[in-house]
Amino acid sequence: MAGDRRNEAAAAGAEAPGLYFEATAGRAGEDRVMLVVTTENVPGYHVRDVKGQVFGVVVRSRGLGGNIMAGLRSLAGGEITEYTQLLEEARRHAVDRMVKNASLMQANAIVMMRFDSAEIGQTMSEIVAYGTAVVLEKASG
Amino acid sequence: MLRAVVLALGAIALAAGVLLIVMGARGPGINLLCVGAVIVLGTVFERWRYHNSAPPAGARWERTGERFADPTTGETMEVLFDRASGERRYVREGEGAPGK
Repeated sequence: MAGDRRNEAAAAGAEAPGLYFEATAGRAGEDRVMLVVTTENVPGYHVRDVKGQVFGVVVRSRGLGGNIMAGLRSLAGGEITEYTQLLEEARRHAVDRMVKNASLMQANAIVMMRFDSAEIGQTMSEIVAYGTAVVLEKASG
Repeated sequence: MLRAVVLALGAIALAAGVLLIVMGARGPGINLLCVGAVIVLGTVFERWRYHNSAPPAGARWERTGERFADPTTGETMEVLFDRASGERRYVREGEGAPGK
């Protein structure tokens, strides 16, 4: 039974790049594969259970050196790579926390995922990744 | 490059501070010394890189299919996932074979 689900999931992964389904050896609790999408529905799957809202929040900042470098770079204009790096790291951190929280809720997917951001002080960046944790099941037929 | 410039500025401030103290201008020298030290230490010990905590023992990493270009290095990164812990891990494409 579990093997069948694995095979279906693997097939789905082959058809839809980006899905978190892989043809890998499984183990107990393997229903908890994690898919993160910004859409409400996933083609070929239906929502069996809604676990609720799930969040990943992080506030990050560059250090003094990074802020000085960014200030100097802004004099000439162009991309401020120090802050690009900051936001990229914050994005990863927030998504990781959200996925971990969804995993704790026994979900296997997060739908309607969104990002929100804000500034705290003048040098700290807050990123929130949030969505709805659900259990997806392959649609029959 | 820019990091080296900032470090050089901090080092110059440090050196100028020491020089002023030696020349007898103790107050301004200490001020400059402190500014230089803060710049150098703040640059050297800056922790901006996000690292996942140590991979959980016995983790079985699976490829998620999620890929993106790292804006810092331009390299293609892929995301691995451990179902048991719910942890994600970012590796360069082709590195970190699943199951390890």
